[in-house]
Amino acid sequence: MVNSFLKICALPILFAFGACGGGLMLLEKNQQLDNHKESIKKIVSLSPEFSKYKIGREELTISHSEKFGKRLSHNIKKIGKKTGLEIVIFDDHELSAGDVDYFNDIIRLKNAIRSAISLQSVVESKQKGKFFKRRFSTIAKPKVVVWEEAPVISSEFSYMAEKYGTPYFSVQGVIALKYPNSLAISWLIPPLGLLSEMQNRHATYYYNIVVNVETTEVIYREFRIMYNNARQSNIDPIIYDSFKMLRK
Amino acid sequence: MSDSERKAFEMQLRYSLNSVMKSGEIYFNDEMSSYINEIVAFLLKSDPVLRDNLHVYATRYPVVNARSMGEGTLLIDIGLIARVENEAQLAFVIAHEIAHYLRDHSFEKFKKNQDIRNDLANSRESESELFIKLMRHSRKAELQADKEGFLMMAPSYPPHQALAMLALLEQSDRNHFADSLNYLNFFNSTDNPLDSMYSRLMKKSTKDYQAIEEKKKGKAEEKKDKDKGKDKDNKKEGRQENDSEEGEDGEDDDELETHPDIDKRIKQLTKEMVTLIDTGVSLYAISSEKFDKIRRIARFEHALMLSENGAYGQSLYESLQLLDEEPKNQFAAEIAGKSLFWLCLFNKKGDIGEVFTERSAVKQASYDQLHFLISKLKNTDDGKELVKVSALFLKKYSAQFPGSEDLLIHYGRITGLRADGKEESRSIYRSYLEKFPKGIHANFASKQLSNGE
Repeated sequence: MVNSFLKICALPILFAFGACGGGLMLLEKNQQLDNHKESIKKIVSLSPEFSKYKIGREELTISHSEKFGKRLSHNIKKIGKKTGLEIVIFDDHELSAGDVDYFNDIIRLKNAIRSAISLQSVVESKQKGKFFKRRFSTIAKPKVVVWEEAPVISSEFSYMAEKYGTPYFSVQGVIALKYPNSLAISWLIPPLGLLSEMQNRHATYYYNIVVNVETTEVIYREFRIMYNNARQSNIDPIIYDSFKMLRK
Repeated sequence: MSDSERKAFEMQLRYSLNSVMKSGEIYFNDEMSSYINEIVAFLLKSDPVLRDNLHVYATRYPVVNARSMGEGTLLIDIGLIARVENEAQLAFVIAHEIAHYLRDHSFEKFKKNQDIRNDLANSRESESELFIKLMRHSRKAELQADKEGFLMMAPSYPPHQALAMLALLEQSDRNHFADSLNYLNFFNSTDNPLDSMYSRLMKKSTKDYQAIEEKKKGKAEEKKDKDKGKDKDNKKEGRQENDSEEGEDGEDDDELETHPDIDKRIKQLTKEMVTLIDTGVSLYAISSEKFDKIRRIARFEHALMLSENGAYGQSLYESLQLLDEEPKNQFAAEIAGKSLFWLCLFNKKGDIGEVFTERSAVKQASYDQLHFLISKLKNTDDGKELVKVSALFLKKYSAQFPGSEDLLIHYGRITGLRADGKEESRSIYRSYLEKFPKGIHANFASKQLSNGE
């Protein structure tokens, strides 16, 4: 009885701070991924991107933080190691004048993956596993969609498997959004001011698309939304979980 | 001009430049860019300082466009290089962009944008009214760049080519290719002749197209007559065009456009031309051979870029036209073969509409004919006919060009799309590996063979 009472009392507090967490996740896998899982040891990450959007009342400011971008690349590499994956990063922040591989291979493959993802529809598998029974998807319990027919890219990139020592290439990135404070003038009224402070005005999106250049298929695509700011301490666990899910 | 505005502009500019330069869409150290730079040097021979401030590049964007980024970087799109008729026209476009740079139009536009945002927060004007204001400002900048670019190119090139260039822009959705093309030349094959269905289709397609065109022509003429009638009535009522500063470009159909109506641009330059004396200068100050060469490169690259951007219908169309012009060109056959494979794959997935748009992109009878043909083929028996015809094309051309990796691998891939084609495609992959053991598709071919085992 006391326990239930405490729980009820704690609910408003949980709701108030609930805005700090939570999120959504969409995870899609190629049916063939099961065959790949064991062999995924190395992934080449095609210049991860970090963009920040500040949504004002009248305008949208886009900023591209080189510092955050570099840190993201560094952390992807570090976290990959922890999950048993060797991640090679092609970081466009560190391009040199003679970096022909970036223009001949990396950016072309990246564009081809984006084009395949945006233009091709997928055929979902009719297979019914425990993940499919879920009606809603959350970060803790994602609904996983398995593709019967995945998006494909051109086979002209298959030579990259030999050149880079792995057929797996990924497009990753973080998009951080900050919304305007809808209770901005509430500072004048103390209790409302507190509410305004507690109000969550951030959303962080993370995406990861992995392609196998030998089979030409996109084997994995995930998209996560976290209702929190894009602090490194928030992003790192997502990346960790993402790599874990990829090998699950 | 405030320092903070300039700083904000430069930040934005640096971001855009950084993105463009790393996008993979810029050609570096290529023949097209060096030719364009020769034209720039010629136009600015009396101003070496300005010349040194400019960085001009050709881009892979398959659109008829060019732009000045704001700090001296000028980008000329491959779509435009593929379309211009001579060096003088290209020189006018470059001069126009230099004028934008000299007048600092990018910053002006940025500032106007900021002002409008402030106005939006403070004034009672609606968003659409402010947008119209911004567009009006942009059109004024375009007219100014036209005039100054024209005066810059006119002493060195025949001035009337500026007008020809503007007229060409008006028709940017048409191209230089033939209005009719016999597609059966490509899709027929001696060892496996297509039945008469295709020739019937083509005849029907041409006939249908002609009927549609005639209908449209009739409607357009009817509309023109009506408009003329309206104009006369307006003039009678004394409602003449407003030539005030604000309404220099009229308050009509281009009010939502960044660029003024072509007629207005031509009218302005025609006025300027009256004051010029024809000095009998040549269309080519650098070289007509070089121009022909870079335009040819641009046309092939344009078809390739369309395919890399997923516009497979258009890339098929352009590559077949190029193949018709140069039947021994392997590169054109490869683009056509790849485009056919992707069209078949998208058709299988039910997404062909995404990659083969109707007339909107290319207003050409021959494009419509191809669209009609592919549409008919894709609808026959779940697209089996489209796959069959495409496979025949790839078979024919991979035999004609035995050194082409692309044609052979796509022949294998397209055959694999057939339910009964798996074994045949595996034998094609085997012959690919025999011929090109270190080829760029070799890993894919071996994977396909090992997967089937």
